[in-house]
Order: sequence, then C-alpha cells, then structure tokens
Amino acid sequence: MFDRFLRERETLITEYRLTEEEQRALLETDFRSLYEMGVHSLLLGPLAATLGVSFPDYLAILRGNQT
Amino acid sequence: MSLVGAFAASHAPGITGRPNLPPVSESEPIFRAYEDLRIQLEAARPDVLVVVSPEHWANFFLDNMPSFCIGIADEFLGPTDEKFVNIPRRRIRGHARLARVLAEGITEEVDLSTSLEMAFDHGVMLPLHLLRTELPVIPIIVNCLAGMPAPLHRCYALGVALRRTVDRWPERVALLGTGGLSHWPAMPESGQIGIDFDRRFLDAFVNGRIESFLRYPKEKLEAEAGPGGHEIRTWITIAAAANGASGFLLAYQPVPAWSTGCAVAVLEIKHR
Repeated sequence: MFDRFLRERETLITEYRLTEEEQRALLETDFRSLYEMGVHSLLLGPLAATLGVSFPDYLAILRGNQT
Repeated sequence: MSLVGAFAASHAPGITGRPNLPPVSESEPIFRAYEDLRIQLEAARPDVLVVVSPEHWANFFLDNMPSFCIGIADEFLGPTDEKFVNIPRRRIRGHARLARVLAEGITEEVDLSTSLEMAFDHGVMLPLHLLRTELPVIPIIVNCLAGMPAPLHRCYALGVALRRTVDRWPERVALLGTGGLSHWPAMPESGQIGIDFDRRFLDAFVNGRIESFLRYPKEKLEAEAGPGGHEIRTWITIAAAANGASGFLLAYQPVPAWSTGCAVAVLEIKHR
C-alpha cells in the first residue's frame, strides 16, 4: 500500500471512505493535518523521510513552526 | 542447559542513521556499550540468537496486527525500506527448525502467530549491525504499536513460556530484547526523554524486580515514557525469560538528538 501511495495516491484515496479534508491532507501530504487527524507518527515520519523531507523540517511542520 | 544469554538494548534509528548528530559525550557511551554487548554475546557462545523486537509497521498493519509473531523461516531480508537507518540490506540466516519448536512450545501457554515471510526493520537490523553477528536469528515480533497490544503481564508470560521451551532443547540460545526506553517517536514532543521513568525501569530490570512494572497503567506509561515507552514489552519478555536473574547496565544515556533514552543491559543467567 505504501508503494501504491507513492505511485498513484490519487487513485488510492478514492478506494477508501475518506472525507474531502482527509483526501486533501493525503494528496498534499500535509503532515500536520494528518498527525492531528490521528495518523500514526511512525507512518508519517518514515513517509517524510522517503519524500526527502529532513527530520528537523518534518518536526517543524508537525509543531506548526515551519518557515 | 540451553539459555546462555539474556540481553536488551535500545534500537533508536539515529544510532546508525545520525551517529554524529548528538554530542560525543552522549553517543560514545552507547557505541561503547554495544561493543561491550558484542563481547558478552560472543562469550556466551550461542548457536542461535532470538531477537524480541517491536513492530513498526514493517510486517503488519491495522487490518491484522498480532500481539506476538515468530518468524519460522530459514532466511530473512532486512532492513525494510528504511534509508534513514543507513544499514545495507542483506539476507539474514534464520533457524526454521528451532523456531518451529519454540512456536510449538510457547503456544502451549501463550498464543502467538507464525510467519514464513518476515522482513526485518531497524528493530532487528540495528542491533545485528552493531553486534556484527552472523548468528542465525529467530525473530519474535511484539505489537507495541497500535490496535490492541498485549498487556505487559502477557509479555511476561511470553518470556516465561519462551524460557520453558528453550530449556528443553540442547541448542545454546541467546535472547536479545530491543527497543525503548522512553521516546516520543516522530512526534511534536520528539526529543523529550522520561529520564526518571527510564532509571526506575532499568533499576527493576537489572535487579530481578520486573514484576513491579507488570501492572503499570497504560496512561501513566505514555505520560512518563511516551508512546515509544510501550516498547518496554520486549525488555519485560527478556526479564521473564531470565527468570528473576539480576544483571548490570552497560549504559544508560538520554540522547535527545536520537529522541530516545538509550540503554544497553545484560542479565546474568544462572544454571542450577
């Protein structure tokens, strides 16, 4: 599922019962919103690393103080 | 006589992934302790290493999350897609015959699932890498993560059943629990460390008093040691298998840059 998320997230998100806001957060990989919606941090952290977001930047996003 | 060693160590991905991020005064005790642990492991002359490690979404998901799962294959691959851990991917020898024996013995007392296709994440790979061991590995994965993790006292029961089974066989078996101690992994609180909790837990661990933690309330554990504190389950399983043995700490070091209270410890197995 992780591979599919990386390759074709537009299709993947339509296969689950998600709100518009949840779909948006997934499409944009809005880490802060996803975290606040309850997505597990050990899914978000590795996803950020895979997408090339540095760990300090990822934490800054979660804490809402990214520049 | 067949349990020859009982060890536990933290597996914070930063140890190998970001080795130079913390001050040397914080990182060095952990690298040195892993080196001491390597010497302890070699001195025990095991035939096989049972690694009790937490699940981190490497093998299971919310559709099916077993409390305990033992890998009964002759070969494993690791690490998973975790570039941040900075460990080369390789094949690791398993020990299917003994793993099946362990599974059969343990299920007499504690339900556990079995897997023929298990991937190793940093929970297994990081200790194997630092210990530079080529021993065959039998993994036991413990849900410390999501869904309905087994209560702490059930992780103790797993250790008791593991010991009873190991003792029936002639192979020399060493046990390594990995994970913890306190951490708030990849969360806004990341870097916070529950030093007081860690010290109290380690004191119980190395003095054969782990029973005092078996009814620790979930909310208290999470407040004092973070969600990552649930990984004390693997340490509890090791302590249970050591059957009240005391031991010693090779290191305890809070390392905020690795987001973890890092510890490495040895329990001294006594044989009658």
